Amino acid sequence: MMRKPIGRELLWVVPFLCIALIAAGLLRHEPRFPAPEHFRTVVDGGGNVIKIALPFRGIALATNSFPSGYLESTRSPQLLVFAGKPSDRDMLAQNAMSWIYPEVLNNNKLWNTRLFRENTSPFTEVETLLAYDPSVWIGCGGSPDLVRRVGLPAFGCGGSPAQRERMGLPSLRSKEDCGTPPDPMRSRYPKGYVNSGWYYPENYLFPGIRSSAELIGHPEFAEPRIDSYCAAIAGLRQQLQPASLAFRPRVQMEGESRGNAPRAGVIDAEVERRIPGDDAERLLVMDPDMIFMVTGTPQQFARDLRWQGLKAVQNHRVYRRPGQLEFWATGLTIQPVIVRWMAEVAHPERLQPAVRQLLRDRVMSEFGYRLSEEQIDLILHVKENAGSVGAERFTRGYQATSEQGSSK
Amino acid sequence: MTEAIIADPARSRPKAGSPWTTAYGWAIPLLLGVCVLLAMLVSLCIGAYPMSFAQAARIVLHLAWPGPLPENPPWTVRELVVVQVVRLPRVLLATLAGLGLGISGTALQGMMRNPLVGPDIVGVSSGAAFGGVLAMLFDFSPAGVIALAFCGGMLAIFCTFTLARLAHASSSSMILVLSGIFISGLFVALIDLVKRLANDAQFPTMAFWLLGSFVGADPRKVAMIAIPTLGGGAVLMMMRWRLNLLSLGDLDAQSLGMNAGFVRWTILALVSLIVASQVAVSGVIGWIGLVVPHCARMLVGPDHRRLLPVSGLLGALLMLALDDITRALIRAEIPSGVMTALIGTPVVCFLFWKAQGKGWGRE
Amino acid sequence: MSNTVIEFNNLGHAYRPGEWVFQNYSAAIQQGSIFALLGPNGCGKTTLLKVLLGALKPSTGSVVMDGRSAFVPQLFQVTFDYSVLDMVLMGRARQVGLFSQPSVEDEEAAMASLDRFGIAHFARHPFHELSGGERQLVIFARALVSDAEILILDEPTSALDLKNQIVVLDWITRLSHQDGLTILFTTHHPHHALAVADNALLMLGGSNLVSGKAGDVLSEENLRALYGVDLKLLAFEHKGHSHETLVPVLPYASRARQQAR
Repeated sequence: MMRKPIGRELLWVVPFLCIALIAAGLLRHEPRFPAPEHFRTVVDGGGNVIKIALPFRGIALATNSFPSGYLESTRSPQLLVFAGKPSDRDMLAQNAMSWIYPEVLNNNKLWNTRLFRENTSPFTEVETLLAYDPSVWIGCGGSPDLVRRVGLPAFGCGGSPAQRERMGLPSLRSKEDCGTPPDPMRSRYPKGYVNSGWYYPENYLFPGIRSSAELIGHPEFAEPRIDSYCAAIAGLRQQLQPASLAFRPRVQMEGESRGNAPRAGVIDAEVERRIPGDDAERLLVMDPDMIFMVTGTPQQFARDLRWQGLKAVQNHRVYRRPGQLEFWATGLTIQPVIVRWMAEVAHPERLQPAVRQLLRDRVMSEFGYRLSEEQIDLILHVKENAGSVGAERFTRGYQATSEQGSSK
Repeated sequence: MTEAIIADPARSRPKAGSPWTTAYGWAIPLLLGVCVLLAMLVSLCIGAYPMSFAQAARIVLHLAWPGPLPENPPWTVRELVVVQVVRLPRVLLATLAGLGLGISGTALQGMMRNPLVGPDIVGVSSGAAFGGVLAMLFDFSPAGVIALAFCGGMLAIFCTFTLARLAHASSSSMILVLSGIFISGLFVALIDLVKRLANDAQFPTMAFWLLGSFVGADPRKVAMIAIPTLGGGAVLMMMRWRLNLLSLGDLDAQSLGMNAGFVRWTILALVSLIVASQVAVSGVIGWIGLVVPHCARMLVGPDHRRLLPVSGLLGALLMLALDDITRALIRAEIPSGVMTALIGTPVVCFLFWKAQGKGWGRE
Repeated sequence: MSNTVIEFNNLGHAYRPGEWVFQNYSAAIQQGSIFALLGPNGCGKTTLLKVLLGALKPSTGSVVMDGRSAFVPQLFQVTFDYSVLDMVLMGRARQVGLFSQPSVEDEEAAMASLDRFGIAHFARHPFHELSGGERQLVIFARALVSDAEILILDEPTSALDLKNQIVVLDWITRLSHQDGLTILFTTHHPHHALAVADNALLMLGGSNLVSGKAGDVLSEENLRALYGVDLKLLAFEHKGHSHETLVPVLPYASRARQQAR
């Protein structure tokens, strides 16, 4: 019998066995959170059934469910137990919601200030949220598969509207065009652009606001806000009468309001002509009548040698447009203002200057908050647009003089 | 009567101070084994959800112990989810990847008699990565990814050896490294080609996968890497003494009665399998396979009976530590492949300066 | 009676067709004998060894090797710095299964073999730290521990100082006489072959060879034909034993010395 140095073999066999056993431990049934004893059931826009534990322990926001968006759509800062990581907090500080709800921005308890605060790995996100122990999360904070597998109460985590329809639930997308008549230019738009379902901002706004209202237990909050939105759109249509417009300027536009171009009586130059090649060449070939930017300033743009020959630059028709994402998140408040702003720039002859008032009214009716003149200047980029034709109507105290001007 | 002239006391030197040749050299693998298991438990405690070491150890022990979990467990569902679903798969993935890379790097270096090679240098990694992206291009299942990655790895190493043989120098280490670099280059180019063919949905997945990351670990991925790594690794471990012989060169090994060709290809196949499974679950991770064998050699010397277990355990430890750093201390999620290169390079520089060739082969 | 352990007939090898390194070589080596292979640089000694070991396929002819062989290369370089004991242990490759490690017995055998060569105290030293002569002995110990019956040495004395040359040659004789090993070695020193070898083969190039008893083959004429220089066979007595050795005659130096006198 050979004497084998068995002890030496054990030195690798034992670690191998231990690792194998631990790995085999993963073959066990995954743990699943038991349904809470008392709960309220909510179905989100993706058809996920969420059991919200009662008594209510609050809402936690997972990655990419912006605190500003939550606040704008729910108006319920008091329900939050966790609002996000420091970078989310920085984003909120830039947002109009931090003026309206400073208590969220300033409450350290709502923000992750621990060692792992910036960790964005989808798996470790889950444990961050577990640590805050809310009744319900907004967003997944990780892979939707994982979250659903272990049965966590995550609202707005994956799924699709079709899944909701299969459950026999009513669509959340009613009133989504606010009664706007079909766009006469529509046939000339690229197919994917129109059929994507995101043509009007309401396509995602209304389902969001309706399910949020359901989440916070007040479904009745949704319709008045939707109606007020549509009323603002309808008011503009009545004053502008876009169907009777003889001339629609072609506009190069950026950002999330392109579907609103027909409502403002302008043509989205990009979709009118699709030209291959890089962006710079495309813009030169399109040579739009106006340019609505959402980043940078018209002055910077005009200084660029490439753009000197553009019609819009020579005629001082480059504008910094109020954006949806820079001060807002969902667009429910600002989109009617943006449409009105575009329409007033394009067709000043048909419209009285009412953008400032509309903005002030919408924020007042939505949040009961009175915007200061400085805040309105900021949102409308009055300073940036100082050199652009027709932008003076958005400045403070313009109202009186403009009536004299239009009476000429 | 047999005492040779050579044994005259004036010529005999004091006993060499090489620790690995003494009995306590065997204490190092023992220590490392304990360290790896402890490191796994410590890694389970790192994260946003507070978890004590004792609790993590208790849960892991119950999970690993065959038999059902207790009816009234001393932990909450929350803690169980954090350990079992969130952290353990990732920790296991890192451990197994490091283990596999350490073992295969050492096996390749021993077999090729060349301390310059590693899975990423002889082309196995790029070959496996090519197989992987190809499988992703055709939307294969994860098992398909690992199978194609394995084929790619074997193909690449076969090409490397054939190229070296074309130069009539299959045993020359320089030629082998050179042909490995050529073949790696070829496969890297092929990967780029596949990336261009990929559609917009596949491209980001491929790019992130190629950088190497343990994000998205789940039990299926753990099984995909655990079975080849532990199985193939165990066979390599059993054959590890043969690496000593292979490292002498084919002629010598042959004359000592070993079928060098057979052993070499068996070991190559095992290495390809291990590397392919690692690449399939976590993308190409460089450096570990090259650096760890050197560190291990400095610890326990070149005898593969000790070296191979130590390399595996050291690789696991290093990979775990790197992953913990990316997970905990770094603010953003950096792919492990990037981390290993960022940390590996200075470590190698330091080792070269510190060791100045000790433990490495000479000439 | 001793029997033949290595036999080759009509052996020939060419790396490229028509360019024969050697051709029509035939020889038989008896068990327990010492066989020396001589030839100038580039005559194909190492090629012949590789063919005998089976590492190269002969272009013509056949090799019969009856017994386990061990090869000792000319310059023993290892990439990794194994300890002396690890090196000797590798000789047990035949005894250790493919999937197992050397047993305690294997280690004991290795230690015993080292002890035999009087270098057991180096067991735990790195191989690279040893001198050339010590390394050669380690390789002998490895060959011995592998239970080899045939030892094939490629220029075992070439890189050694005088004392170590003698040690190694002494060991070659001892392994042959005491252990019954058959030893085949190549050398550039005809007097080494004359001192220890029973039989010798001179590779004169192509298909020319002279082979036979070392005393007969290593004659002044044959060596002149082999190296193109004059060698003198000297016989002398030392401590009651008769010895023979070969001394080269340096054509210019001897003339110059003559004139100086």
